[in-house]
Amino acid sequence: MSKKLHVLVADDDRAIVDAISLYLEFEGYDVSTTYDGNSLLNLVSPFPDVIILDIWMSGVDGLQICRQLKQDPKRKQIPILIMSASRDLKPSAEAAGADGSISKPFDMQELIDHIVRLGSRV
Amino acid sequence: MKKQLFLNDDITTLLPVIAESPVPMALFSGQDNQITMVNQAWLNTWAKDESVINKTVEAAFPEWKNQPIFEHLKQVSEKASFYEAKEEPVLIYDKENNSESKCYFNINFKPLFDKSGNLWAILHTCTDVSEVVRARKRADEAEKHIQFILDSADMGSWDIDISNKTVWWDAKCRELLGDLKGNSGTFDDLLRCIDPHDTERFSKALELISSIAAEKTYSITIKTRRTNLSPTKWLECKGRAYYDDDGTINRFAGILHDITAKTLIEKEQQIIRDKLALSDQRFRDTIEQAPVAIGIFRGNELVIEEMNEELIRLWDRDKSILGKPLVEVFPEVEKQGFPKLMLNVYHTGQAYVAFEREASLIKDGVVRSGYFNFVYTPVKETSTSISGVMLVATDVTEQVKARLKLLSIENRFRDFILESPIPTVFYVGPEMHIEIVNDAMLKICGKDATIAGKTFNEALPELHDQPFQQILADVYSSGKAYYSEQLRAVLRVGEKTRTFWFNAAFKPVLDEQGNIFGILNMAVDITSQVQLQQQKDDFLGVASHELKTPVTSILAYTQLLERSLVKNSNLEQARMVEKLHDQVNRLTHLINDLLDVTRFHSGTLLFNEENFSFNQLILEIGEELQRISETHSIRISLDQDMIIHADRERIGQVIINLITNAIKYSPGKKEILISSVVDHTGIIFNVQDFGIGIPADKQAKVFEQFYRVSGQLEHTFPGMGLGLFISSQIISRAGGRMWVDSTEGIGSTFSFHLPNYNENKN
Repeated sequence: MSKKLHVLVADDDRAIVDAISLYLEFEGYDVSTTYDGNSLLNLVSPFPDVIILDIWMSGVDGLQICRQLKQDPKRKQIPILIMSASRDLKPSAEAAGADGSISKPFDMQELIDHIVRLGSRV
Repeated sequence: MKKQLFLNDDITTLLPVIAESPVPMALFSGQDNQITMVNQAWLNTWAKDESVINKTVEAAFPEWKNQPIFEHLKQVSEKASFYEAKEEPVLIYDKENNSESKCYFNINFKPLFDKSGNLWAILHTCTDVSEVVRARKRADEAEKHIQFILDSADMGSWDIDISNKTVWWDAKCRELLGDLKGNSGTFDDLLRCIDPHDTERFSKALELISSIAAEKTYSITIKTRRTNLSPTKWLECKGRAYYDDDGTINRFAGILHDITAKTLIEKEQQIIRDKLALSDQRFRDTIEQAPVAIGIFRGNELVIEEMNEELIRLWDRDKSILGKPLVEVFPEVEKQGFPKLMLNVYHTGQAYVAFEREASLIKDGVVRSGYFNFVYTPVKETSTSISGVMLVATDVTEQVKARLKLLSIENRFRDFILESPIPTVFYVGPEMHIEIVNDAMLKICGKDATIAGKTFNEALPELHDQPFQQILADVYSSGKAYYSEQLRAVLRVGEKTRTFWFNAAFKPVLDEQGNIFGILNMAVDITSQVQLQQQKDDFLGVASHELKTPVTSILAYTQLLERSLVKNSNLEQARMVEKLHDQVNRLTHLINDLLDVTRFHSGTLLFNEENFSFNQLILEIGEELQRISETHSIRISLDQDMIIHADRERIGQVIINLITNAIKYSPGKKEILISSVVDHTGIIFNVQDFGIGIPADKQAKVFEQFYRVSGQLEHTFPGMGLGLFISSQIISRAGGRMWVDSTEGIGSTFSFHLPNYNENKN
C-alpha cells in the first residue's frame, strides 16, 4: 500500500468512533474523526478518501449532510458510506447520493470491504 | 104458389076465430075498406077502441093517410094482391099525449075471395115488433159503437162459428194477421197466418174453444208468421163462448189486439229482469261463497238479515241467529263499540273502515279474540234511504299475531342492540338507513341519536372516503359477512378528527325469504390496544435501535481484540474472543428480529427487490451454515434454477432461519435435507429435519408471533419465538406462502413457495 487511505469517521457515539478508528488504524488506515456532522460541511482540501457517516447524530441528520456534500461541486467527489442502525437504509442512502450503506452492527470485515471498494475509486 | 083462401059463405064461422085469436086481426070489406070485424088484440095494437068498427080505414086511421101502409092497403084492395111486410114502420098517433111514435109491425093484407072469385074482404093481421126492432137497432148501434172502439183501440174482432169451423173477421183482423182475404174463412186460413212455432198451440186452442164448457172466456197470445210485407207481430186473442138455449156452444167471438210493442217491451223487461235476477243470484252466490265474511244488518235494531258461510264460520254460530238484533246475539260487542259504529253508518251513510281491529266474541263462556279488517257500508234501498249496514270483514288474526310476534322479536333484537355495551348499528336497505344505533356506537362516532333514520352517508359524511361504504355495499350485494381486525377509522370528535381502530363485523341480516335487507355492524373499539401495541412496537424499535449502537462498538472492539491477539499469536485468548464475537452476533440477530417485528406491525419494513438466482443463494447459505455446523450434515438437492424477484437478503434470512431451526430442533440427528421443486407457478423450497417434530394441533401456530412449541423439553430450546413469524411474513410479503408438514417424534419439513416473477408479470 503506497499511500494510506484517509478515512473520516463521523458519529456522535464516541465508543463507535473510538472502536472503528482503532480497528481501521490497526488495519493501516489514516483515520480522522468528528462527533459533529455539521463540521463536514466545512471540510477543506485535502479531503478524506472515504467518509463514514452516521445518520442519527444528536440533532444532525447524516442524510442531509450527505445530500449537501453531494451538491457541493468541490466535495461531491468524496465517497460517502452511510452507517445506520436501520436495516432498511439502502434506498434512503442512495436517494441522498451516498456511495454505499452499512447497517449497524456490522462485521468489521464488511466495513473494510466497503472502504476498499470506495477508496479504489479515488 | 100461393093458395087462395076461400071463405065460407057463412061468414059466421070465421068470426069467432078472429074474435078469439091472440094475433091482432081485422077484416076490411068493400071498396072503401070498411072495418067490418076486429079483435081486441088488434085494437090494442093500434091503440083504438070499438068505435072504429063499421068506419072506413081512412076514417078510422087518419094518421095512415100519408104513410106507406095506406098505399099498400089501397094496392091490395084495388089489385086483389097479397101484401106482406116485415118491420114496416108506422107512425102511431097517441091521443092522450097528442104525440106520434114510430112503431114497427109485421103486416099482412090478405085478399079474401068468394066462390065466384070476387074479392069480398081483406084480412089484416099484424104483429107489433117495435120492441124487437128497437132492440136490434140498439144492438146494431152498440155493435157499431164497439167496432168504433175496437178500431180506435187497434183491435180487430172475430167470430167463430164452431159447427161450421168458419171464422168471420173484420178489416183490422185482416190487417193484423196479414194473410187473410175477405171477411171470413176457415181455421186453416187462420193457421197460415200464425208463426210455425205457435201453430200447434193455436190449433189446440181452437180445438179447446170448440169444446169449451166451463171456461167462458179464453185468452191466447200468438205470434204472426213473418212475411216480406209484415214483420212478426204479437197478438193477444181474447174470446168468449156463446151458447144456445140448450147450453151447446154455437159461437166463439172476441177481439184481436196488437201487443207487439207491449210484448217487445215486456220481453225486454223480462230479459232485464232475468239479468237482474241472475246478477242478484250471482251477487248472492258471490256473497255466499266470498272468502270474506259478509253480513247485512237491518234498521236501527241492526237485525241480522244475511250472513254468509265465512261469517258463520267466523262467528261460530248457525243461521238460527238470523232475524235477531245483533246486540241480542252478541251482547259483548256493545262494550267494544261496534254497534255504535254501525249505527253511525246507518244514520250518516258514511262508510267506516277499520284495520286490524281487535274483536272478542263469547260463546259458552269462552272468550275468543281476533283481529279483523272490516268495512261497514250503508245498504241503500234507494239513492237516499238507508235500510241497513253491510259488514265485510277479513280475519287477519294470524297475520297480526305473527307480526306482533315478529314485532316482539324485533323489539328484543332492538333492545339487545340498544343495551349492548358493544358499539352496534343496524343498517337497513341498499341506502344503508340507520335503523338502530346504540349509545356505545353513538359515542365512538361522536354523534347523537338524531342520526337514526338517516343514511350512512348523511349521518357519517366524514367516512365517505374511507373503506366502510364499500364494505357495506359489498356485504349487501354479496350477502357474505365481513370481519375485519384492526380496521382503521378516522372519526370526528368535536372539532378534531381522531384515528380509531376497530375489530369489526359486518353481518348481513336476511328476511324470511333469504333476501338481504340489512347489515348488522358491530365494532369493538381496540384503539387503546392498538395504541398499546404501537407503543410496545415503538419502544422495541427504539430499544433495539439504541441497543445496536453499543453492540456496534462492542463488535468492533471484539474484532479488534481478536485481530490483535491473533497478530500477537495469543491464540488461546483469540479463541475466547472469537466466542465473544459469536455471542455478539447472536445478540445482533435477536435485536434485528425484534426490530423486524416492530417494522411488520408498523408497516415500515422496506424490501429491496431485485432479480437473483435462487439456487446460488441456497448454495451460498448452505456452504456458510455447513461451515459453522459441527453436528449436522446439510444435504442439498436442487431442481433447476429460477430467477427470483425479491429482497435477496430477506429471503436469505428466511432460508437461514429454516436451516438453523432444523438443526436446533433435531438434536442428536445428523442430517438436514434441503430440496427445491420448480414448476411454471414458481419454486417450492423444503427444509427437512428428523427431529422432535410438532404436534398436529400446534402446527398452524408455529407461524404466530412469540409462539414457541411447548412440551416436555421444548422449553429447553432457546429463542424468542420470532423467527418463523418473521420468515412467514417475509415470504408473504414476497407473494409466497409458508407451511409445515410434521410428525411428532419423526421430524418436520418446512416449506415455502415463491411465485415465478416472470409468470406473474405476464
